[in-house]
Amino acid sequence: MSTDSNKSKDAEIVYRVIDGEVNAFEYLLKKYNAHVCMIVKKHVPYDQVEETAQDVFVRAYQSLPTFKQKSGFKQWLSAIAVRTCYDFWRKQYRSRELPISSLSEKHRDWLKNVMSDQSAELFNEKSRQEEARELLDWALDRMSAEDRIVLELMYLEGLSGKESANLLGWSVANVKIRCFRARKKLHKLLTGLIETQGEQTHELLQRKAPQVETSI
Amino acid sequence: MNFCKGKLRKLKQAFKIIYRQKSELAPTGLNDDLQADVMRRIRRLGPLKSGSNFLMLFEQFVWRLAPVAMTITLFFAIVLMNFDLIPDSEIFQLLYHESDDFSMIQFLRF
Repeated sequence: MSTDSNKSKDAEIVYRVIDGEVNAFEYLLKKYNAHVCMIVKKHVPYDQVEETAQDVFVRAYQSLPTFKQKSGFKQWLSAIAVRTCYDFWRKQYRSRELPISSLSEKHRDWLKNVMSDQSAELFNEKSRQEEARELLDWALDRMSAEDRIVLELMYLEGLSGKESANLLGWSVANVKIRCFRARKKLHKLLTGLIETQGEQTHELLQRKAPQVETSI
Repeated sequence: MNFCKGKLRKLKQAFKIIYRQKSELAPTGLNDDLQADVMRRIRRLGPLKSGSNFLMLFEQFVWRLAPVAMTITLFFAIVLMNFDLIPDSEIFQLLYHESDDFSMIQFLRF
């Protein structure tokens, strides 16, 4: 009942804004401020959260005439927030303004440890969590904007194909295929990372081997 | 090196935790100044009715016209398929072999 009255109140505000009462939008801004930021901060870097959240509200205002009461304002705004984040990454990838992070041995070790049985204790350490975050960012930086957003929604947030499709405005089949490919890409990247370490260690050992022999 | 399913599940779990923690660190909402900034941008855009109504009408108009446009396209496609088109190579062969009976001007009049 309360959700219904909530929805009708939102719809009433939307109609007032469309009718020209621009200041009425402030009610929606205050009401959904935290909700929008909660979505945005999952998808964009910390320093970009506030700017992107502002863009979400401006975009929502401009799109208000297309709002249909069916799903409710909150759901509609969530879709706009996710699409704004997706557009953020599309722009970033086009201009490549963000530096691509590089990895060290620590990150590779984390990856190895997390897959071994001792991972639970190691993972709880603060420094280890930092490495994990950097590793995740490193992998996501190497994906396209489409793969990134689908992976974040389905693989990391655990949303269903239908929920992700509704948020992105894509078909369910498209979202599922995209997620499958993105997951494969992620695993390939991480496999490559461990293999590189293996090769480096092997090369190092080979380089060191003659030195050891001569010293003997 | 290939990851087995169990290892991948572990990795996914670890990434999920990190992803959740990442969102806990960022700001929880826009402060008053930033909210005022949003409203300023919105006021600068002005009321929605005049500009967006035309766009909405256009959108509706385009989608309503889509089936009509498709029917017309199909109709013309069928007409063109039944139309007796003479390929250029055929005209050239005719001109070459029977140049006494046909001139280029006659073909151009087709």
